[in-house]
Amino acid sequence: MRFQLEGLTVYFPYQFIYPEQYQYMLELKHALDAKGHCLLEMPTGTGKTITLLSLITSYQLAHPETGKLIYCTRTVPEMEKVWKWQHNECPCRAGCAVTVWDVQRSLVMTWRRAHPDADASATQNFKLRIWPALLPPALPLPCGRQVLAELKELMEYRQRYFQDTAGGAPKILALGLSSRKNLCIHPMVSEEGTRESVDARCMKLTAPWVRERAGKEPDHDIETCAFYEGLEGAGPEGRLDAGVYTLHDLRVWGRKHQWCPYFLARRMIAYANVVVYNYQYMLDPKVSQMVSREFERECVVVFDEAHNIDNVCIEALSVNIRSQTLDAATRNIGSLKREIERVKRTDEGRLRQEYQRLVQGLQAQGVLQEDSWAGGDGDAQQWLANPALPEDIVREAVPGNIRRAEHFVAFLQRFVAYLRTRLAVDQVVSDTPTSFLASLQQAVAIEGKTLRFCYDRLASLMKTLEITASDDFHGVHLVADFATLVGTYSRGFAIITEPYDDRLPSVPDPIIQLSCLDASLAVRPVFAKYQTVVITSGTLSPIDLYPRILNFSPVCIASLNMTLTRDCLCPVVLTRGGDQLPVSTKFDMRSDPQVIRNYGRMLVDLAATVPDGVVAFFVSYSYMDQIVSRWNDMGILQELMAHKLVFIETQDVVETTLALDNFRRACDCGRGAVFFSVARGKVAEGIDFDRHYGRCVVMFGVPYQYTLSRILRARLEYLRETFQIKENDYLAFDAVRQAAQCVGRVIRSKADYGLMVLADKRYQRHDKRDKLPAWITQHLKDSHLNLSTDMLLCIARDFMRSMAQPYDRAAVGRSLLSEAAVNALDTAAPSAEAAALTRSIAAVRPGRTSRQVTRASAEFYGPDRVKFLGPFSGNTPSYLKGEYPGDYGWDTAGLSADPETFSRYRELEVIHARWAMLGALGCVTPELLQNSGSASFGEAVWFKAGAQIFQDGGLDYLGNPSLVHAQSIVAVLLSQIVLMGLIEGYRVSGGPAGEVSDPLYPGEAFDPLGLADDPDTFAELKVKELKNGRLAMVSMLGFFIQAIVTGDGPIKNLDDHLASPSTTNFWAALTQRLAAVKPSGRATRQVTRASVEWYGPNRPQFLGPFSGSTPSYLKGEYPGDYGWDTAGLSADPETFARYRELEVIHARWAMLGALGCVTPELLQNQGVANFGEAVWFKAGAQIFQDGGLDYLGNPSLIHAQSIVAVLLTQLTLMGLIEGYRVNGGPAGEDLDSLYPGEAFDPLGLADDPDTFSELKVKELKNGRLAMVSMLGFFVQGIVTRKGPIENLTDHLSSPDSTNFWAIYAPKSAGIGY
Amino acid sequence: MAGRAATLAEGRGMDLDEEDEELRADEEARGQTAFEREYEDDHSWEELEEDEFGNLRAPDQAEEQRARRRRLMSAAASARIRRGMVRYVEVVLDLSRAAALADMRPLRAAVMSGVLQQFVRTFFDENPLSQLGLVILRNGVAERLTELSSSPEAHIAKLRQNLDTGGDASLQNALDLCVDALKSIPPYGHREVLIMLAALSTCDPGDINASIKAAKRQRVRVSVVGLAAEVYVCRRMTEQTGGTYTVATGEGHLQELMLSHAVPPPAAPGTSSVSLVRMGFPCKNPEAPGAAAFCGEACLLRPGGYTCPKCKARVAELPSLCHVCGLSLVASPHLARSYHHLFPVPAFAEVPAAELLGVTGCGGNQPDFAPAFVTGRTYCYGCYTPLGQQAGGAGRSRGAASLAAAGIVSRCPDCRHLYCFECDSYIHEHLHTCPGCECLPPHLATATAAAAAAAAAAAPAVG
Repeated sequence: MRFQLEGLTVYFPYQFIYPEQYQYMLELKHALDAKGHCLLEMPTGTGKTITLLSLITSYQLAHPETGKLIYCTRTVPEMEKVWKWQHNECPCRAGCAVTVWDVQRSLVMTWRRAHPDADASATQNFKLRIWPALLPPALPLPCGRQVLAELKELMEYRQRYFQDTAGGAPKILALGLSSRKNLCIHPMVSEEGTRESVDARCMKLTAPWVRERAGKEPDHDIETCAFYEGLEGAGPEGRLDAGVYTLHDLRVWGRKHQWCPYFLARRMIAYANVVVYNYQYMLDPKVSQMVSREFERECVVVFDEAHNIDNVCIEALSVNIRSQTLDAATRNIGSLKREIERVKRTDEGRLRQEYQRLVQGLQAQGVLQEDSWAGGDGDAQQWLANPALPEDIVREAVPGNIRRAEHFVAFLQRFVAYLRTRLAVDQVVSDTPTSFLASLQQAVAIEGKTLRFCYDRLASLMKTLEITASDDFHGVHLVADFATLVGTYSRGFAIITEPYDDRLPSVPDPIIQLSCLDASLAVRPVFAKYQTVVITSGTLSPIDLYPRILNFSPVCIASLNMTLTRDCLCPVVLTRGGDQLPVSTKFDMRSDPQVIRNYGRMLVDLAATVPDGVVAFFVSYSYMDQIVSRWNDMGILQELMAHKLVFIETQDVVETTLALDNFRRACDCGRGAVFFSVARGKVAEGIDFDRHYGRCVVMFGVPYQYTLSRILRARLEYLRETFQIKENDYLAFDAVRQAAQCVGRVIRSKADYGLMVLADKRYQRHDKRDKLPAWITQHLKDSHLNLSTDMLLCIARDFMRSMAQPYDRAAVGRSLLSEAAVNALDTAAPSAEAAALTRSIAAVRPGRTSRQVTRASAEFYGPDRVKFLGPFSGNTPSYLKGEYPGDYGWDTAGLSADPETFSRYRELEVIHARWAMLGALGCVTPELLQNSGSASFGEAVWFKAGAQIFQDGGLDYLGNPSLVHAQSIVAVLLSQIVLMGLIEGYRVSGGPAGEVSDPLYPGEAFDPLGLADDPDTFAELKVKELKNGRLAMVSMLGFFIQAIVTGDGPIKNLDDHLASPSTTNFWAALTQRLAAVKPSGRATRQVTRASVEWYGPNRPQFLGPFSGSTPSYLKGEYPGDYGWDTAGLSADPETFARYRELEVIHARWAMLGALGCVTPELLQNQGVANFGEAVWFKAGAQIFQDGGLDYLGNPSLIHAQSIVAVLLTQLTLMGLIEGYRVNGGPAGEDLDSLYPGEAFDPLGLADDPDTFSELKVKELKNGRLAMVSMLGFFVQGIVTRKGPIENLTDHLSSPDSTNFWAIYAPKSAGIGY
Repeated sequence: MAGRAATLAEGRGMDLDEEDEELRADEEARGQTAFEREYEDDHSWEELEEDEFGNLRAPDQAEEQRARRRRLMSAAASARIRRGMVRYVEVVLDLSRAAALADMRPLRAAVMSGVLQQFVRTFFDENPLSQLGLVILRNGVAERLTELSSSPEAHIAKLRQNLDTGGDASLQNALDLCVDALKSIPPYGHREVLIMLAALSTCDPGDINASIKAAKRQRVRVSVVGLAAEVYVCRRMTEQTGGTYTVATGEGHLQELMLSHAVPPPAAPGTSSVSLVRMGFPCKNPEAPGAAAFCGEACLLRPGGYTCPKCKARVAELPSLCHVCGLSLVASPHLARSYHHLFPVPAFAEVPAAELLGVTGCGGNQPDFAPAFVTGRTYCYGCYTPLGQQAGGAGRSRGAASLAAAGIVSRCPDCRHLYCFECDSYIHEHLHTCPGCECLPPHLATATAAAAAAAAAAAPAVG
C-alpha cells in the first residue's frame, strides 16, 4: 500500500497496516523531522522491522539529503533469518552465525567420535539435522523475516508504484556487513574455525608487505589471495550494482566476479543507502573506528532489540585480565623481542624509520590512520584499532621513553610484571583509574601518559615488524588495550581485582577487571555524530530510564501497545502456592522447602494443563541447580516427567544446543516438554519459544543481578553519583526488563498465544508491575494479580480452551487498517495534530494565552458588580467593596463589618461550600448511576448506603469485592476523617507547595489543571465556585430534610415528585409524618400500664381511633410501633429488625448530640462555665485558633490542637461503643444487641419487665424527638448562624421578627441570584 | 432391541418406546437423575432482564436462534458438495490419566462416554449405511473395543462396560490400529478416524509423523475433538489428513462438536469416482416361533431376522453385511434416510419484522386453508402459531407482546411460506422436507421437481 503520512509518501509492502505500526511511523517521522534521537518501544510480532525500513526508505526517497540508514542488529542470524532455507543449497556453507558455527563443529566432532565408521553422507545428514536447532526457528510468517529479506521485499513491492515514471523505480544499495569469517570465499581461509584465525589467515595473504614481496619476487611462490587481488585489479570498476545484498548475495556476487566479498562490502558501504551490521561495528571503538568512521552526519542509526544496549556499551569498553592472559603476553613479548633482534640484524633501517616517524607524532603522520579503501595499503592492518574513543585519542607525539622498539618492549615487560603483582592478592581490591595510576607510578615509575600511547605504539611496532599472525598476539593486545583505557579515562571506570570467583571460593582464579561503569561513554560519540539515532525494542520499559543511563535527550519517546483481535496474551502474577503461603525467590525465602515445593507443584500442575512446550526461567544457574535437585529429592521431578519431558540449559553451549534440539522435537511430536532456563542466559536472549514451543512461560522469581558482584556495586554507586539513579530503581529496572524479556519469548506474532506466569509475590507490587512494558500490563487484569496455584490453573485451563477456538485471523478494520483507512486517518490528523502541537507548545512556554478582557472581572467584582437586589439595591454596606468573590452587597446582619471576623466567615463559607459540593455530588451520583444501571451499589440512596456496612461481609464498593472492601464502619470513618483532615490540614497550615500562598485559593504549585494561570478566568471561577457551593449547601439541607421526611433518596424523590406532583411533595410528606408523631404526644398523658398501652393490638396508633388499616405485620410487639408503615418498610421481618436497630441507635446518638449542642450554650448563658465559643457548630472551629481548643476554657483540661486527633478520638470512642454493642463483649454475647439489660444495666432499669418496656418506648420517643431536634439545629445553624438557645431566647423575645421564615426568606432571596 | 428398532413396520408404539429409551439414556449419559442435575452451569436466571418498567423479560432469543440458524444454513448451503454417504468411522476414545480429571462433572471420562453414546446413536440415525468401530486409548496402548459394524447398541453396550482410566495416551498406536483396520475398506467407503482426546501429550513408541503419513497415504481423514487445549501434533495431523480439529470449552460444546461429526463430511476431491455399489434388500422372516432358524454368524436359533437375497443366509438385523456372501444388506428406509444429505431443504431466509407487518396469512402462493382462529393474522405455516407483533394486539399487555415477538420468522425460498423458528429448525433438522413445497399445486411443483432432478444427477448413484 502507499499512503500519505503528514505529507510523506510511505510505501508499505502489505495490504494492511496495524494501527500501532502507523503510530510508530508517525513518531519516527517526527524524530526525523526534528533531526533528533528517539526511543520507541513496540512489542515483538508487530512488524517493527518492516515499519522502520518502510518509513526510513520512504523518507530517504522524499528527502535525498538524508544520509544512510545504518541498521544495527544484535546477532548476525537476526540479519538474515532467511538463510535457513538457503543453507542447503549454498555451497559456501552459509556459515553466518558465529557462535553457532563453533557449536556445530564440536557437535559434529562428538558425533564422529561416536560413529567412527560413518561415511560422509551420514555426517552430512547429521549436520543437516542438527543445523536448524542451532538457530531460532524462522517462521513462515511475514513478521519473521528479517531486515535484509524484508527490505528486499519492500523494494520489489515499491517497484509497482514506479512503473509509469520515466527512470523506473529509484534504486538503492543495501548490504549487510559481517566479519571476514562470514564473508570469506577463499577455499582455504574460509575453512578456518574461528573468527580470529580467519582474520589472521586472511592477513597473511593480503598484508601490504606480503603483496609487495609477492609482486617483487614472482618466482618465490608467495601465496596471495586471488579474490583480493581480483578486487584490487578491478580498481574503480570493482563495485556492486544497486540492489539489496544479503551476505549470501555478496558471496555469490564475489564468486561470480572473483572478488573478495569482505573488502567489496567494506568498499561499498560508503555508497550504500542502507547498511545492516552488528552493534559492535557502531559501538565498539576498536571496530567502529575503521568501519563507521566515514559515515556522514545525516545518517539515521537504528539500534534494534536495544533493551540491553547499556550492557553492550559497557562490554565494548571493558577488559579482563587473568594470569593466563599475562602468560600469553609474556610469551608474545618474548617473540617480539626475538623479532626485533632479527630485524635489527637484517634490516635496521626499518626500525630507524619507524623511530623517525614516532618522533614526528603518529597521528600527525597519519600512518596509523587507516586510509580509506582507495589508499589500499592500510586495509590489512585494520584489526589493530585503538580501544579508546576517537575524540579521546591524543593527537601528540609518542613519548620518548617508548619510541625505541627495545624500550617499548621493556616497558611492556615491566607493565606485565606489575600486573602480575596486582594479580597476586588474597582479597578483593577495588581501585579507580587514578589510584591505579598513582600506585603504578610509585611501583614501577610508569606514567599514565605513556600508557595512553601503548596501543598505538604496539600497532606501529607490529606493522614495522610485519607480523601477520595476529591471533597469536592476543595476550599482548589485551594488555595494551588495558593500558590505553586506564591511561585515557579517569572517570567512569573501575579496576577490580578478585582473587577468586565468589561462587567458587576454593578455586584460586585471580582476575583484574577493568570495567566501564558508564554506558553513555561508548554511545556518546554515536549520539554526537549522527543526526538521528533510533533506539527500539519490544521491552524498553520503564522507558524514561534509558535517556538517563545513556545520557542523551530524545525528541520522541513512545511506548506503543499491541492491538489484538483476541486476548492472546495472558500475563498472570502468582503470589501464593497451593497452600496459600507466599512464594518468592527473595533471599530469605528461596531455600524454604515450602516455597520450593509450591513452585514445583505449580509447575507439575501447569505441565498437566498446558499442551506442548513450557519454558521455565530461573533467576540464576545456582538457584536452578539448587531447586532442581530439591525437586528431585521431593519426587516432583518424577511427577513432572510423567507429563512432559524435562530439558535443562547448562553453561555448556553444546549441551544446551542438544537440549534445545530435543526440546523442539518433543514439542513437535506431541510428547510435550519443559525447558528449564536461566534469565540472562543465552537462551533467554536469543531463542524464541513461539507457537507450540512455548505455550506457557514461567518466570520463577525476580531476576535481580548478582548483587554481591563488585562490578555491579561499583556501577550502582557510579549511577547514583553521576545520574542520580537510585540503586533500587536501577536494580528493579534491570530485573524487570530481564523478566519481561524472558516472558516475551513466548509470543512472537499476533497469531501466537501464550500464558505468562510471573511467579513471585513481589511482582504484585507497583514498583515491579509498573516497570513491565505497556503491552504486557495492558493485558494484566486486576483479578490476575494475586493468584494462588489453583486459581492459576483455572485461568490457564480457560485460556487454553478459549485460545484453541477458531478465530478470524484478519479482523480488518478493528486491528488492521486498509490503505483507504490510513489515508482517511491522515487527512483527519492535521487538525488533531495541530491541536496537540499547540497544546504542547503552550505547555512549554508558560506565557499567558492572551484572553482579552473577561466577563468575570467586570461582572462579579468591583463597584459595578451584580448585586442581590439588582439595580434596586441602593444601600450596599460601605465595607463590602466587591473585592471578594460571591459578594452581592448584602449584609443586613452586619456579619462582615469586622474585617477579621469577615475573613473567617469567608473562609468558613468557602470551605463549607466546597465540602457541601462534594457531599451533594456524592449523595446524588450513586443513585443516578444505579438508576441508569451503569453501576450497582447495592444500596444507592445516600443515607442508606452507609448501613450496608453492617451486612455480613461488609460493604463492597460498586458491588465488586475486589475494589475497596470495607468491613468496619470504624475503619471507614477513620479513613474518611484522616483524608478530610489531611486536606484541611494541608490547606490551613500549608505544605510542600509553599506556605505563602493564599490558604483558600492556593493556585501555583497546587493547580495541576492550570486554572489559576489566567487571573481573570480564575476570578470568574471563584465566583462560580462559591455560587455552586451555596447552592450545594442548601441542597444538602434539602437532602437531609427530604430523607427524614420521605425516607427516600433525592433522585427517587425527584422522580416521585415528577410522577405525581400533587401527592408527592414536601408538605404532603411532612403532614403524613407529623400526623404520625402527633398522637404519641397526646397519648403520653394517660400512663398506667405500659404493657397494655404501648404494646399489643390496642396500643395508640398513629391516627388514633381512626387508623383502620394497620398493616398486619405490625403487631405492636416492639416499642414505638404506632401501626403506621405506608412505605412498607417493616414488611420484611429481617429488614424490619435492621431498621429498628438503626432507629434506636440513631435516636440514642441524636439524644446525646442534642444534649451536647444545648448544654454548653446553656451553661455559658448561665455563667456556669466559660467555653470560649459555646454555640455548637462554632465550637469546633475553635480548634483552628492559635493554640488550639481548651475544654471549658481551661488549658489544663482536655487541650486539643488537632482536628484530626479530636475526630479520631471521637470516632474511636463511638466505634468502640458500637462495636461493643454489635459484636458483644465481656458482658456476654447472648444478650439482645439493642437492649442488653442484665450485666449491662447498673441502674436496674430492666429489672421490672413492665417498666423496662415502658422505658423502651420513652427512649425511642425521646430519640425521635432528638433526631428531629438535631435536624432543627442544623437548619437553624445554617440559617441563623446562632446556637439553639440563643435562637430560642431571640424567638421568645421577638416571636414575629425572629423565626424561620423571616430569617430564611431574605437569605434564600440572596442566594437565588 | 436393536433388531426391533430396524423393523420400522412395528409402528408408533415402537417409536414411543424408543423415545423413552432415549430420554432415559440421556439422563444416564449425565450419570444422574433430574433432581441431581447441576444447574450451576447454565445460570438461566441471569439471563432474565428487567425492562424500564420493572417487568421481567425473557432474554432475547433472536440472536441465539440466528446462531443456530447459521449452523443449519451452513449445512444447507453446502448442498451441492458431494458427501461421503457410506462412511467407515473408527472412533477413538481417550481414557488415559487425563480423562480422570474432574473439570467436567463428574469426570471427563463419564462425560466423554455419554457424549460418545449419543454420538453413536445420532451417527447411525444420520448415516444408516455406514459403519463404526470403537478404540480405546489407555495405558499407552490402543485397545480395540468393537469392530467396524452397524449396530449402535452393541457399541454402546461395550462402551458402558469400559470406563476405567489410567496411563498415557498414544496417538500413534491409535492411528496405526485404525489405519490398519480401514485399509481394507472398499474404495467407495469413506475412511475416517475420529479421536476424542483428553490428554495433552502423546507417548508414542516411534515417530508419529510416519503414522500420519501412512494415514494420509491411505486417504484416512483424521479428526480430533480435544477436551482441554490445542495440541500441536493434533493440529498438524488433522491438517495433513484433511480432518478438523476442535477443542471443547464445556460439556455442551463438546456434545455439539461431536454431533457435528455425525453429518457426512464433504468427500475429498478425487478420492473415488462414481461407482455402483451392490446392495441387497432382504425380506423379513415371520416372527412366529415355528419359523425359527439359525441366524447370523453366531448361529443362534431364533425366529425373525432377514434372509439375504443372494445366498439366502439369515441375518439378525439390518443394516449389516451378510456374514456368508459379504453383501451389504439394507432396508429401503435406510437409503431414504441417507437421501436428505444429498438434497437438503434449502435454507430459509429470515423475514425482517418490518416486512412482516404488511403480511397476513402464512405467505406462499396457495389459497389459505387456515382455521378460523388464525385468519386475518400472520401465522406459521407449520404450526399455526401467530407470528410477530400483530399477534399480541395493540391493546394487550407488553409482556405478552414481547414473548410473542421473541424468535425470528423465516420464509422458504421456494414456496414462500412463513415458518416460526421452531418449525424452521424442525424442518431442517428432522423433517428434511418442506411441507409447503410438498403441498404446492402441481403446476408450481414441477419447477421444484426439475431442480431436484438436476441435483440428483450430480449425486453419486446408489443402486
